[in-house]
Amino acid sequence: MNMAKVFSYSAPKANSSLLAFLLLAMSLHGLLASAQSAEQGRENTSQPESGQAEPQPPGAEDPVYVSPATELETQALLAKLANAVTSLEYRGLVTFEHVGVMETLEVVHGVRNGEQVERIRYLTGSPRELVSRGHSAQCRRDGSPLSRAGLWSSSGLQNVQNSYQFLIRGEERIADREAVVLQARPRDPHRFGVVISVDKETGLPLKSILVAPAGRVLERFQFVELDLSPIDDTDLQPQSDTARENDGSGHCGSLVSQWHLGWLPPGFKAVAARELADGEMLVFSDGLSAFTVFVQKLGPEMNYKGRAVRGATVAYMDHVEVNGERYTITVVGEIPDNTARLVAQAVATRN
Amino acid sequence: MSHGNHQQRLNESLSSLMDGEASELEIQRLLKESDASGGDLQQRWSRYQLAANVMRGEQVAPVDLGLAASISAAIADEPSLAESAQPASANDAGNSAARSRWWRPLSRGAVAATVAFAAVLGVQQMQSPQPAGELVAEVERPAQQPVQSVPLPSGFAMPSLNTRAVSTAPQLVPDQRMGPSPQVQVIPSPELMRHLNRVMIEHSEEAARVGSQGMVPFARATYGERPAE
Repeated sequence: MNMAKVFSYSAPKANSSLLAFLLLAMSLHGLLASAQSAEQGRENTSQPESGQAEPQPPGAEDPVYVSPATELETQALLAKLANAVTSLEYRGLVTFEHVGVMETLEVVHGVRNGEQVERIRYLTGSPRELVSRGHSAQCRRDGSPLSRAGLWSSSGLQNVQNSYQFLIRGEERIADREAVVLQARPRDPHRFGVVISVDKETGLPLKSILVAPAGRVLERFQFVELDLSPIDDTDLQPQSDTARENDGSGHCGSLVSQWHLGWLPPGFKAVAARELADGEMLVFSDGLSAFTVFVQKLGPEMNYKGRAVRGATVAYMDHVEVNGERYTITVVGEIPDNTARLVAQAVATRN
Repeated sequence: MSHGNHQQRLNESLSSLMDGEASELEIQRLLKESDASGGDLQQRWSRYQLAANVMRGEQVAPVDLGLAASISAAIADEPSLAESAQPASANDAGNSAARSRWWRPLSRGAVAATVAFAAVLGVQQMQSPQPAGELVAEVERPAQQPVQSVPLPSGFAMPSLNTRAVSTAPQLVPDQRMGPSPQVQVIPSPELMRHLNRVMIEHSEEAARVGSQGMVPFARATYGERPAE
């Protein structure tokens, strides 16, 4: 009885609110339409032609409180960062998230005889461990501005600033330490953005996230705990039977490739080329992002054409036939899908 | 912070929630606010939902926003079970009273069940599972779903985190074939998966040498299942 009364009272009210809903729907519709056109705009910019013509800096609508980093600030911060990642000894616990999954890792970074030794062990999921030794000594090729050491030198910095706009996004606290938040915003649609929280004291990257257009976060790597005391030799030994050991020596051959890329996303330069048992791999970097082109003879049954995605990494597979030989092309990198496809299509023989 | 500002932020959070893009923080704020301020926010939410229904061309019935309130009131008005458990008298009035006594506890249960059901639905929506380790037919690269730990940097989409264990195998997205019979490889061969794992690892280790990203490429290189030697 009571309820029925309530119903009858509220019926006219409901009708008038329905009108309000419809009005609201109209305005919402307008909103959605504009969102849609923004989406289309993004699609368009992912074409290389329009991207090269006049790249719209993504996120240009950001509020004004974001200060573009001055040349000097950026330079100092990046130099500090580059120095820290190569020369500091540290260990820590880290969360690593992608594909909506979070894993925790133990990382140890030591320096032995001027060479870097890294040990990474997953603490969640199936046991995985990697011990990696001795990269930079062999790989510091003087000609390349993109080797670890030369990356943030003046020429390297110029190169990276042609591809990214750097912004200081404020400060935050990570792993109980104060950090400056540095954003590298891509100037064209052929690379992802990076946001790095740089430790104020040491320059170590305490958090880095990889950002796709429209602010989609693809991957986040973040320290939970950081210990800067010197690393013992025992800490660099593998802790599990299944650990993979990777010795960097001989990996930096400057092979003269028989392959040639007819198109490269602007800013990317060849930084390494190496011979494989069944083909070649060519590595390209713009200073922050990197991708690798594999050209291999894998037989006719490897005929997959398309993408494979794991976390922030995409692999685009295609094939090319040269003189009756079939070569499988795989472009792998933390780059947009479309860019990977375009690179794969640009592979040709040198002559 | 002025009240208007606060209200505006709430409204923005509410629309993000509508779009499924609200951060953990925003959802918390909305829930707290809807507890505190009662009807206003809830009514707005209902209006948004109805508007969305209309836009999708779904049929909508005029919803009585006071329904929940009136049910609450009815429940509050009702005498407790102990009081109502008295023997029914045999006259007409008593008969109808008995019927309503039979009906009322049931309706109370029904309301509770409805709430529980809604809660289950809500949970399922929030955890909308991603296809993992399966073949996906369409195009989007799966976005990372981290938790927002701090309000910086703003403007990034941070959907909720899924802590489910997922295969570390790459997801395949084949190109659409042009021919009349789209011959898409449905089951990836072990060779293909091995190849993909191998090139991803090789790439990450190479990237570790050229980049300046510290440990991140190593984390990527170690992530996948190890290739068969």
